[in-house]
Parts: sequence; C-alpha cells; structure tokens
Amino acid sequence: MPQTKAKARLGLVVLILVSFFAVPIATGVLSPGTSAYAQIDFTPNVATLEVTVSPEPATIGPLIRTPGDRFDCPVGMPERCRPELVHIIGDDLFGWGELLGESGLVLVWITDETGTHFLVVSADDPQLTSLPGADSFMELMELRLDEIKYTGERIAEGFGSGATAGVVVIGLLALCPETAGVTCLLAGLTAGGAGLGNVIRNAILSSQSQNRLEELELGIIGRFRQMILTITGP
Amino acid sequence: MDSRQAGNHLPRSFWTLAALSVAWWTLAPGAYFLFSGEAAWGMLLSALGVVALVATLSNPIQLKLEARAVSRPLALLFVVTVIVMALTELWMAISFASGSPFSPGLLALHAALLLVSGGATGMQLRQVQPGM
Repeated sequence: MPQTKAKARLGLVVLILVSFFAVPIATGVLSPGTSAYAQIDFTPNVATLEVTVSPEPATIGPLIRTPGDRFDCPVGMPERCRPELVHIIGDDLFGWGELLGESGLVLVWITDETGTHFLVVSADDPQLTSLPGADSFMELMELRLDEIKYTGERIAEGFGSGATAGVVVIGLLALCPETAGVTCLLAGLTAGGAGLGNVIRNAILSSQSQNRLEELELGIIGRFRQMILTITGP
Repeated sequence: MDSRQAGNHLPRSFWTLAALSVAWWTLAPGAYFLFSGEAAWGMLLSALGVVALVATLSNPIQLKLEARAVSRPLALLFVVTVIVMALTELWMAISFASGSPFSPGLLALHAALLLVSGGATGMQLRQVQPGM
C-alpha cells in the first residue's frame, strides 16, 4: 500500500512538472513576443510597384430575404445557421423571430430527426399569426412554451420534495436522541412517504406534460409544412 | 477519554458519504433550477446543498456526528429514501423524450451518481458499532 501511495505521489509530481512546461506552451504564454521579431533586419529588394486606380467593382448588397426562403441546418447546431433576429420566441428546437433589418419578415424554425429547418414568412401570414378555427404557428408556440414551463415546475417540485424528505431524514438521524428512536423513525417515515408521494405525483404529471408537448410539437411541424405549401404553392 | 455514549454509532465514512449524497442530491439540481428560472426551489436546494457540503468537509461536525448514538433503522431509512428517489429520477429520465428541452442525459447522470452514493452509504451500515 505505501508503495502504491509513493508511486501515485511520484506520478503526481511528474504530472505537475510536465504541466509547468506543457501548459504555458499549449496556452501560448511561452510564444515569442513581438520584440523577438523586431530584431530581424530585412530590407526587401523589390522594385516599387506602380499603382493604377482600377474601376470600383459592383458592390454586393446583403442577402435579401423573401417569404418562402428556406434553409436547413444539421442536427445540433441551429444557432450557427440562424441569421440575426430582433428577438427570439422559443428555443433552438422550435421558435420564431423577426429578422433584423427586415421588418415585416419573420423567421420560423422547427426541428425533426433530420435537423432544424428554417422558413422566412411574411409577418402578417395568417398561418403564422391567427387562423380561424385552428391554432396558428405563434399560438402553438405559446402553448408549447407554457407546457415547457409547466414541466419545469413539476420537475423542480419533484426534485425539491424528494431532496427535502432526504434532508429531513438525515436531520432526524443527526439530531434525534437514540432514546426517541421510534418517534423519530415514525417522523422520518412520514417525511419520506410524503416526499416520495409528491415525487411520484410530479413524475406522472411531467410525463403527461411531455406527451402533450410531443403532440404540440407535431402540430407545430404540421403548421410549418402548411406554411411552406401555402407560400410556395400555386 | 472516549466521548462516545452507549448505543449505535455510525462510522465516519457513513456520515461523510451521507452528507456527500445530500450535497449532490441538492446542490446540482439547485444550481440548475436557479439558472433555469425556478428560483424558489433553486435557492432552497442550493442552500441545503451548501450546508451538506460544509458538513461533508468539516472535521468537527464529522467528529460530533460519529460520536452520537443514533437509531439504526433511521439510518437505514435514509439509505432507502436516497435509493428510491434515485430510481424514481432514473424512471423520469427514461420516460422523457430524447428531443425534449429537458436533458434526459443530465437527469440520468444525476440519478446514477445518486444511486451509487446511496448504495455506498448503505454499505457503511455494515460497520455499525453496537452499544458498549
């Protein structure tokens, strides 16, 4: 056992010594400063280049977006594909936002197993804002965000109830005199039972909420496809 | 002079692992909830977690706990509570959809480590010293 400890200590010392050199090199701390380069005297032997003014090239303006523009992004990196937006309603998976510098145009996106799909739509598109007798994209998004908030609350309450029960039991164990063992055990059982009951209740509620969330996301994907068909269709 | 009283004494390793389990149980989700907008639960769990962490690292607290005569069934109840809660959390992680905004992976990792620490705490109960 002492040999193992000595070996471990030796390994640690070697690791620290190596890291003294490796870390500064890896982080660029030991790279040569600008003064090192300044010592080299280099006079180029090149004839002076005559510069003639060439006509200005045609400027390429920013990418102009129009309703119906679509682009996709591989799974897991939607924030890299997304153009700048005034604000974002939703998250990386599902959402919408007004395009920066292009008032009247809204970018909407959905995510499925193939990645995140983006679509530019007009801000007054009824499929986006309000539909008679059906939920628009924005309304479905609002319902989805409410459902996510609800699930979050249930998860937090479940965690909180379970952990609080555990803390009560360990508190009783640490503070109760052994002579009051049965009383403390009953109190612990009550706390544990109540905590477990609340954890299970919240787990069931959050599981049901997850199912509703999946249905809502299917609805959002359906509305997205409807928008594509409406905009790009005849 | 031995400061211990007559009765069941739990080894120091039990108290260390129990406090560490509570710290992991409360501090990690507490910090997560604080950042995800669940401020009330976030603050409560974080505060409990900090207290548990102090108890894990404090030598005087550990010595006092080790010297106390405690109820063994209550210690067993604590271990059972940790394991049952960890299993429930694992079930929640499995029931979550993979595309969910709540990471089932993180939940499963938390539950798995809690399960391991609960099991390790339970193993220390074998070393309980009977009354002197």
